[in-house]
Amino acid sequence: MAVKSFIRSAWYSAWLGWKLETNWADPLTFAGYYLLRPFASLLIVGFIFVIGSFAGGNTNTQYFTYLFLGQIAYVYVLQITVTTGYFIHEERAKYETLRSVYVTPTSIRPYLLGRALSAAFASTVSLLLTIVFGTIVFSGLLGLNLEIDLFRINYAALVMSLTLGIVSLISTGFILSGINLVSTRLQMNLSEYVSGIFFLLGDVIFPPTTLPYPLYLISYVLPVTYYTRAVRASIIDGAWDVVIPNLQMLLLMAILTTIVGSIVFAAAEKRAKRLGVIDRKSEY
Amino acid sequence: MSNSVEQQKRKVFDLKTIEVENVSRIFRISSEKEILALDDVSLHVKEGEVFGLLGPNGAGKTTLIKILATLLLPSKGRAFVAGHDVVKEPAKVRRVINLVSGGETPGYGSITTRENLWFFSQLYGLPKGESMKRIAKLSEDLALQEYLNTRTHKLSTGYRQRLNLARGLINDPKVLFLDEPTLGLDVITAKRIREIVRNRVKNGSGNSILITTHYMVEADQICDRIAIIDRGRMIALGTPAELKKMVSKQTIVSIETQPIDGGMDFMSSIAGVNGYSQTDEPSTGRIKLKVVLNEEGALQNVIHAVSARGRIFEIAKSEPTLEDVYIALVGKGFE
Ligand SMILES: Nc1ncnc2c1ncn2[C@@H]1O[C@H](COP(=O)(O)OP(=O)(O)O)[C@@H](O)[C@H]1O
Ligand SMILES: [Mg+2]
Repeated sequence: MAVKSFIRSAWYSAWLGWKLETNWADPLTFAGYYLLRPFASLLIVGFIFVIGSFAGGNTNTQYFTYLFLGQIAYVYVLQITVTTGYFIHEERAKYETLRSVYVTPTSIRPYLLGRALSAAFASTVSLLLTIVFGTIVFSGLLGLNLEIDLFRINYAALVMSLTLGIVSLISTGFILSGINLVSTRLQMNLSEYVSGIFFLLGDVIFPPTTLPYPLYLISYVLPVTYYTRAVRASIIDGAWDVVIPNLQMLLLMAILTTIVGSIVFAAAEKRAKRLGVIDRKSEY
Repeated sequence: MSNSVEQQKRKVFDLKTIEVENVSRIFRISSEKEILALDDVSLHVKEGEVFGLLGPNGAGKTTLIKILATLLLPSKGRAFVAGHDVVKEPAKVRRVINLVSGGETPGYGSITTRENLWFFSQLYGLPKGESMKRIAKLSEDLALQEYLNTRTHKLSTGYRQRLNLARGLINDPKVLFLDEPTLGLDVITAKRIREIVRNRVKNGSGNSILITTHYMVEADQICDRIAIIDRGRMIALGTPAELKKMVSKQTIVSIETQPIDGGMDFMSSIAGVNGYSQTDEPSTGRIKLKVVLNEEGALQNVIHAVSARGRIFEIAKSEPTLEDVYIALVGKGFE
């Protein structure tokens, strides 16, 4: 019964999220957020590489492929983390509905989950379009040789990597939401900082081994690192014996993040109720 | 035999939908500063009752409502809604309540009024047909029909507040919390809301409502019982008639004067004055004073003190109203 109501609330929250996210009265916002932002990010990184390699006189297509796929995988990281980390603030300040949702029987957890899932769905659209767009620009227009063979891609492993990626990113979103529940100081910026850290340390543009010593260690505890790796392995290598160890690590990280996310969120909710800040709008 | 014992038990148990037992709430502002927002408050609300919380700003009314609505934990004491502990069984409490805060216009602006209500009805798990029926009924009651297909960011504040009330009623809550529901509303909407409140409770459904309000007349009209709270403490509790009886031995006079330089603070130091309030009458440029006196003899002192500072146009004795009770207890009127 309780599970059924939870799923039901999550489902209708996903419906709401989809309506809000893809607000057709204002399609430019959707396009800006879900299309231009990842395209721009891919273009910037791509062009820095192209210019850098012309200046250096050689093009390392292997590294370019690494960068390209890192950027593709990062679309999820950016969209899901930023969107879900923003929910609490949005609920408090923009819609003022946090209190109304909170007092419903299933309260805010299925609500946050549902909205996060619709963000993940919208991000999938954005991820697929970024692949198409990126391939056209870099492979087609600029004639760079991406070391991607459509027939070697392990699609099953790719879907698993993306799914587990979504799970750990949504759990990360719950951690951020928990922090935002008890502290209004970071609010809007928190998820931007976190996605920035993931960009630099999550094996997106720099392999961890190239990072200086202490940073390198952080890399290895971030779930994003294992997610980007699993995505690359599924696309470049494809062979199960390469993919499976990556998927195993990602699965482990997804489970850990989910556990940590649930604990952090529960603790934060309790603390917010004790402090009386669940529905506050500004600093007291 | 056993049947009547059962019935008696049921009565005793069922009658109270809200029970507040010695609830205190402290807010820690800094390491040195604490606010005692609620100080050992005990009260109960019965089935089928509209219960009013009356008190000045910062008295602790919203704090009590938040505790009962599972948004805030009490520092001390216990509270039950429909028999469920608000701290230990919040999910069970949430199944029977809803909350509307006036002066607020929550809602998802880029979707329509109907979609907003539909979304909340689904969080309450209403079947589709039932949900449609309720949306139709509520939008009729609140004259929202015209705007059902309008995106809510296009609605005026008044209509957004109506939508908020409709949201608060969508699950037909057994216990409804209304925190200053008519705050800032136009007269017609406020009246409509008062009617809806009365009807919900008076139709024999056993629903109850806990309402806070600034407006004395409103409280007098719609509340079965009222608790007056000041600085976190409950200082009076009773039906409007019982409360008025508390001041029946006192004398209540209305005095109309010209505006007085330096304000009315001198009133509190006059012997025999229990409390006073003042309202400006912009149409005449005069000031209307309401003074509660412990004994009729004190009227002389008041007239003396006021006329020394400004001209008196009119003096009249009046029947006690809820406002007078409030003035007598708290020492001043609402600002
Ligand atoms: N979250 C909070 N943190 C600190 N102080 C608070 C908080 N909520 C309320 N207060 C304080 O508690 C007191 C009671 O507030 P409240 O219950 O809102 O009063 P009312 O609704 O009667 O106007 C006020 O002094 C208010 O400033
Ligand atoms: Mg209040």
